[in-house]
Amino acid sequence: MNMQIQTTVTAGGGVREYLTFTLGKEAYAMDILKVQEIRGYDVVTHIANAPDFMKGVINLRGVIVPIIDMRIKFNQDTIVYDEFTVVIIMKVLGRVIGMVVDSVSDVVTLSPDKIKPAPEFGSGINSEYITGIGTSGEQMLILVDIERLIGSDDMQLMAMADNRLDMAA
Amino acid sequence: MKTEVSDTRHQLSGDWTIAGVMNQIDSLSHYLQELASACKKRIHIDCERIEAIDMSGLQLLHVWMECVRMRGMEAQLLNLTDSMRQTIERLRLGHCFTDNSPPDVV
Amino acid sequence: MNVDLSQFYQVFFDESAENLAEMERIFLAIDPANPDDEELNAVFRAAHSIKGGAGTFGFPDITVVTHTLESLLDLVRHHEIALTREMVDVFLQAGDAITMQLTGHRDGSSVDQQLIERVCEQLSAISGCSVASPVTKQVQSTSPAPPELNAEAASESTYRIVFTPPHDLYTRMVRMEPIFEELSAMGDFTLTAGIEPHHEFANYDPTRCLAIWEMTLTTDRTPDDIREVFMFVADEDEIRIEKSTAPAAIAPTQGETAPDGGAIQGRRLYDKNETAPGAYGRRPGEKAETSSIRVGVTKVDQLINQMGELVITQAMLAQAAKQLDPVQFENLHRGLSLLERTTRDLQESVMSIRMLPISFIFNRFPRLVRDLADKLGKQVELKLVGESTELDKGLVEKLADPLTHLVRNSLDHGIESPEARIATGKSPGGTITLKAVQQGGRVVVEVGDDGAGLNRDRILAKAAQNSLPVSDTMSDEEVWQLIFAPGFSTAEQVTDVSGRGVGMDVVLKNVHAMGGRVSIFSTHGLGSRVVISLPLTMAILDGLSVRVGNETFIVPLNSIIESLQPLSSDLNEVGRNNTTVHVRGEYIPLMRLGDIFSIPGAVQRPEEAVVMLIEAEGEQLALLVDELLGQHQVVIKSLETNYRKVDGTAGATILGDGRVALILDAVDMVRLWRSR
Repeated sequence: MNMQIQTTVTAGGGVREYLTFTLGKEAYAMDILKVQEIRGYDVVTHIANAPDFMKGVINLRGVIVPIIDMRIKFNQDTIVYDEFTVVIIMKVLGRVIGMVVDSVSDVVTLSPDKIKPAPEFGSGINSEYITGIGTSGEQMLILVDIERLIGSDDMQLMAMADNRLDMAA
Repeated sequence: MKTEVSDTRHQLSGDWTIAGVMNQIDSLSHYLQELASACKKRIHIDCERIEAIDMSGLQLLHVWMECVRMRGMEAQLLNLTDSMRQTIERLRLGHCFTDNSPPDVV
Repeated sequence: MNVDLSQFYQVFFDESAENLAEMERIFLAIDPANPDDEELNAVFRAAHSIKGGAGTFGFPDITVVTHTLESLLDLVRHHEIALTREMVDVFLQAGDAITMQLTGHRDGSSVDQQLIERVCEQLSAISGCSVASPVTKQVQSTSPAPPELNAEAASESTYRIVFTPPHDLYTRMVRMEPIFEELSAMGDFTLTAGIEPHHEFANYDPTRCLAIWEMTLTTDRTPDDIREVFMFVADEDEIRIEKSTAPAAIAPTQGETAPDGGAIQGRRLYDKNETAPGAYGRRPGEKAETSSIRVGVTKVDQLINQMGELVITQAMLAQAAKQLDPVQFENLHRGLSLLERTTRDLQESVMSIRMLPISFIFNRFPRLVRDLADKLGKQVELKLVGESTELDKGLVEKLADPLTHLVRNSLDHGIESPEARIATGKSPGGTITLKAVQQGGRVVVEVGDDGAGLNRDRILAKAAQNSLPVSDTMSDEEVWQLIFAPGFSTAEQVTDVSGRGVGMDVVLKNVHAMGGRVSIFSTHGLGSRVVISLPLTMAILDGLSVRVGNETFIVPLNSIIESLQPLSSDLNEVGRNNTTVHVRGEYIPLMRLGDIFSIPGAVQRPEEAVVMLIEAEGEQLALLVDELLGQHQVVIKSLETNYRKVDGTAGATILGDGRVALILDAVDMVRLWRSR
């Protein structure tokens, strides 16, 4: 890891730390302050009538936490659940939510001058949830506004959208 | 008039109200133990640095002084602040703190 | 003194709040023409208590107002001035003013000084003597009672007063100086103090009060008056008052019983002889107060959490022990079964700590209804039924807002004006009924009125206006449900009472957040009822665990009527989703959980599976599950905290093996059936 940690603070914002993770071929970064812990993928209790990326809920030390699989949300082809599968437990919008990703990498520090605005591009994540592109060493990281993503309507994590059961399967 | 004495002087200080009395116990205990091994006839208790004192603090002081007396020593209060005097007066505890022996002159 | 007193204020604030509530309750119910003496004494006592506390803790602004109020109440209770309805109104406002002052000190909220002044003016107008309001004059925190208000002008006597304070006098932050000052203002006063001898410094607790005070007082006041000075500070048995002339030595014993009349250990001074009928301040026939202690809510919550964890752990043990041979491990099994029983008992006790009678919220409504009805020009009587019904403290707090909104609704839109009522042949005054009752494992709270009822056509019209799907063939029940849509209000005039802001949708949301549900019943011209059904406790549930496919669900025991394995002859299939089970002469519709929850591999044929009969909202359903697993007490874990309400469930739980299981909601099942 050969990144330089910038200590100069530019006006209007400072240096922030990000957790980097991969989904498919892309590398993403999210605000480290919203990460509570990182776990493996364990038994999940299925919730009927939830979107397919909503795998269900788990017991996290006595608290019920929903698990969403971002790989399904971003339409990845091959999705496996094995001992290498990683779940990022995040604290977002006052809730604890788990997010399945392909892998988790380092925590990087990015200063504002290392971040460029995001171009419109169609892979994976909707660009309205992207706050920029960061450069760490030679790596390009897609900076995700995780709160906006989790809170968006199509995630159906917040109440309101109808999740009524049906008589038939 | 301020009285100065030397090695028979024990300095009290800090918060002697209900909020602080628990914190005073250790040093008072410690000094009592020291006294047990020393051979003093009288000790002087300097109250100048007591920041605040209430009924509980006065009770503590009285009980402690009684313990000193039980060990065969005399205890005398010195340099009481005005507010401490007033508190003792208002609570009518003066008679608990009088010492029959004449004050030392240094 | 350099001490942060704020931690001790809370008790004063809490107790004063209780006193103010009691005062309000009595004023609202009192008949000015024929006031009850005990009640007059009780309000006097309450005001006096607040005044004393305000003095001890240094809130001179409160002292002034309560002092004025107390003096007036003293006159009233001695029948020196007659009570009128106007005076009661002023007293109620005085109570409001004091509440505002208290809240100002407690929360830092703003205090309307003009209102305080107005109240003081009104109070002084009644008594005819002028009173300085706290704004215009500096007042000492302990002003002695003005002697001209003391009607009894007895001749002077000398009393010997011995005060042996309780051991926690210091830790209760009691200041003796103001008490001595007050006594010295009552006459000729001498004071001597002593400290109990204590010679063992090693085990000396400096927070424990060892002081004793002996006083003589030559005064024209009565011993009762003297006792009242110590009211906030001492219990009955800690004050000894004797008529005497000779001073005596201080006797350093704690807890002596008073020689003058029937002292009861640990009772407040004014409860001198509480078993006597008409006893000072006590209603005849009322049983003695059971003793209680104040415990912080955080501590109770902590206790409940730990209790929940204990239940889970006990379940884990039970699970693990299942595989062990019952004969070889007989002792273990016996121990575990004992553990289960003890855990259950402990859990019930712990849960009951958090239970409060619903009167806590019901009590605000007499005042609210009175004021609001006056404002709206309507005549309304409020009936409270089942006030002693208990429910979890957390629910009691959350219920307050929705209930308030519903009551305001009834007042505003339900009950008609007296003229309108007479025109339709009703009595001019309407009635609002607040009812609470425990039913099965739930608490049912109801707000009903005998007003105009809901207007079906107007609701349909408004709904259509708001582009909600409506049809004329909708049942009344479905039409009433429309008013839960956000922003819905058919009030023609949005009054500031209930038509704005808080809608029925917020009521619904709040009730759902408590795990409850709302139903509306209404008949045009006769009235409406809104029924809220809440779970009895928020935390623990008796349930039956069942398996469907490879998933486990918990079915609340109090929803289950029975379980059975049907014979083919009991089943009547008219199409896949229309199977009924014949049980004791009735045909109960069958619902396949495997289908509803999209679970692969669930057993398909009912005769190879298990059918559970459940009941909710007056309907019976048969649920098809693969297998019954066992009965458990489960800790209810919220799904909404981090996720959302899942249809068909009432929360989740953690099984003995650490997995999450959903708790089935019988009412959701019934509603699902109805909506098919």
